[in-house]
Amino acid sequence: MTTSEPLVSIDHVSKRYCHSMRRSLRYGLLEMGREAGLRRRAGRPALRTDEFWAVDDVTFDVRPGEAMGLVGANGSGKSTLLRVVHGVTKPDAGEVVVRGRHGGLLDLGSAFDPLQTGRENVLTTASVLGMSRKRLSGLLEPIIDFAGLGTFVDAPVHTYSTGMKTRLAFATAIHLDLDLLLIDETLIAGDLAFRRQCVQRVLRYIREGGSLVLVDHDLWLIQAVCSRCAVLADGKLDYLGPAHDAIGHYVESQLPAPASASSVPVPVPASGLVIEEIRVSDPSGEDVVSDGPAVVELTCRADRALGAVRWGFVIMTGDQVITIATELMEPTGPGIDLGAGRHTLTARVARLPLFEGTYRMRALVVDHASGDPIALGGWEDAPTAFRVRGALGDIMTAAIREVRPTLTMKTDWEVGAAPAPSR
Amino acid sequence: MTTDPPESRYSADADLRRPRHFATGLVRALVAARLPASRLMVRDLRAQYRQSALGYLWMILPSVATTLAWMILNNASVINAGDTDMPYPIFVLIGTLLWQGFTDAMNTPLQKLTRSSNLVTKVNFPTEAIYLAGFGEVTINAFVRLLLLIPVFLFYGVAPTPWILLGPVGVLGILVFGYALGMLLTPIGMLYQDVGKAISVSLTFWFLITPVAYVTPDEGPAAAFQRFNPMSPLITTTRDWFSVGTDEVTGFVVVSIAAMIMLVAGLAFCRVSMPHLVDRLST
Repeated sequence: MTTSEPLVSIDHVSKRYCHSMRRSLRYGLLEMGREAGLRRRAGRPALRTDEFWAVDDVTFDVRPGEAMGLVGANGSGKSTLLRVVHGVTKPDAGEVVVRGRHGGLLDLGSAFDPLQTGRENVLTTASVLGMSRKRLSGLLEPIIDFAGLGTFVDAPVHTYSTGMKTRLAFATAIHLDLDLLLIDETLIAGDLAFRRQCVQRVLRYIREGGSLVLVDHDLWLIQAVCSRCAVLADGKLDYLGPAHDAIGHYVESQLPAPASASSVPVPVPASGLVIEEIRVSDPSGEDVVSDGPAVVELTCRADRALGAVRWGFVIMTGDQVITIATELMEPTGPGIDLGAGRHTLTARVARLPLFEGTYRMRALVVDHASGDPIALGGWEDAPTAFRVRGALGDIMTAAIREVRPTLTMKTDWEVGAAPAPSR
Repeated sequence: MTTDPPESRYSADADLRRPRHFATGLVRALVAARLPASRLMVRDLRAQYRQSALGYLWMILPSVATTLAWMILNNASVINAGDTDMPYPIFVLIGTLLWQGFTDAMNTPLQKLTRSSNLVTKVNFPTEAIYLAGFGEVTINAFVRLLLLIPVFLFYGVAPTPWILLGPVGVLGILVFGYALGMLLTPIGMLYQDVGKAISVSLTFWFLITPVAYVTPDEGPAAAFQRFNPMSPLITTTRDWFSVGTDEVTGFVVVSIAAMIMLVAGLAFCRVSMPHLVDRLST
């Protein structure tokens, strides 16, 4: 195998499924008849009554040694695509070519036989996946060790928790020495320690030359493990690119529309104040430059005089998972006297130490004295997104982008001849 | 990692369009299926009576019960079994043991695939292993059941003839025929439960029109009818081999050859149907 040759080629693959049980069975019978009738399928077939495209004309490659993430909303076709790549089902159009031994973790835990013990199930699964008895005998103990089930390994699987099944399934698959591993949302059930162990093991597997297609709703896991990522939406390939960008795209598509985008004016709640807009820019109104000055503006509307208030904002990562900073006016100083009508509140940040990328902001207005919230922006609706540009002349390399830092710091480096280490 | 990675292609084209490729694929799959098949067979043999108090007794209880019922009916002259060349209990017992092997064989492929549906929808492996394992299990069970004949032969003081050496061949013929029928029906049976129900109904009917517990009549409409019942020569010849011996093998050979061809066809049908079954089982 030459390295330029992809390990997996997914070429205009489509797969249709049927909503109706009865029709689905009839179509199944027709398909089986078609197999016996030796007919060649030219081009993409039409949808029949009650059918939809579960996977719709998807094309991409997975190269040897690559970890590819696959994300998308529920029902976007991720698992179906994985099943086609795994070869347990056929595409309705297009072709998948897989070069190498591939194995699935397509919810392997549920493929276990509940009446058999964990140990027996490992033996069965491994032999089913083509492992010889001799090789398996040396691997049984490492698998059991990795799963960390203790004495449970000799108990029937139906006594296991979902997490325990997951551990055993993952441990089995990762030890099978496959060229390509297909993992479908199986890691979710594991506890934190086990997930960490899995990530380490998967990274080692990739370093050793293995390839991976990972379907998971945990975007951090995808980011930690995958270099590239495909986003599926309604069966179609919506985005394909570096994991960071793809996840950004996916998160964006998953968020509810920001309140300010709505043409209907937001009614003022009982508290008397509504936040209409939050804006983040540099002093000239452009995108903020990394580590440069920033202006935060909050537009709000009060239907009555509210007296003294304070306000603040929260900066989060683009996927809203991590809160980076919160700022709130001190209660010791004077407040802002808010009369009836529309107001714009302004705050200036001398240096916003964010690395280039997309971030999100929420804001809140509280009563000056009590600190009780009067209005929230970006909590129930989508937080405002804002971009931070790289500084001019910034020679940040792709390697640094790859690790995706969030903050940037001014650092003074000592230069010249390095001093000898003191003994 | 493997040095010479195998290449797998999955497209919408019918696999049988390339018959040579399909045939080598099937043979390869059967070879690769041996190890998982033995593993699955051991698993299922161990598990088959795990949740049962009487355990392995269930292997022979149905045949014993049927034999007793026919003995009572025959003694009470409710039925006329005809002129058997051996003690009637032995005649019926061999017949029902063979028949039980046949029904087992016919039911097993569908049962095994249903039981493995979790595995086949999630793991790409030579699914032939499931059928191999099922056939192994059916065969072992059939021969273990036949051990019951030893004490019964001793009790009635019947000595078998050298023809008994052909007995196992006869049993295999019956099992292959039943298994081939079962495999041909399995893909459709996985989609429609009607098939499973129809199998059990027709087996009852088939039992009554097959000379399991009575001698094949020599003349009349029943005799003509028996000529078209493939189970007739299989049961009659095999039973004779186990007891009094016979050299009438034409019917047996014809049906056995047909059964082999059906078995290959069944394997092929199950193989091409599998991806479509996975679609319908997992959505």
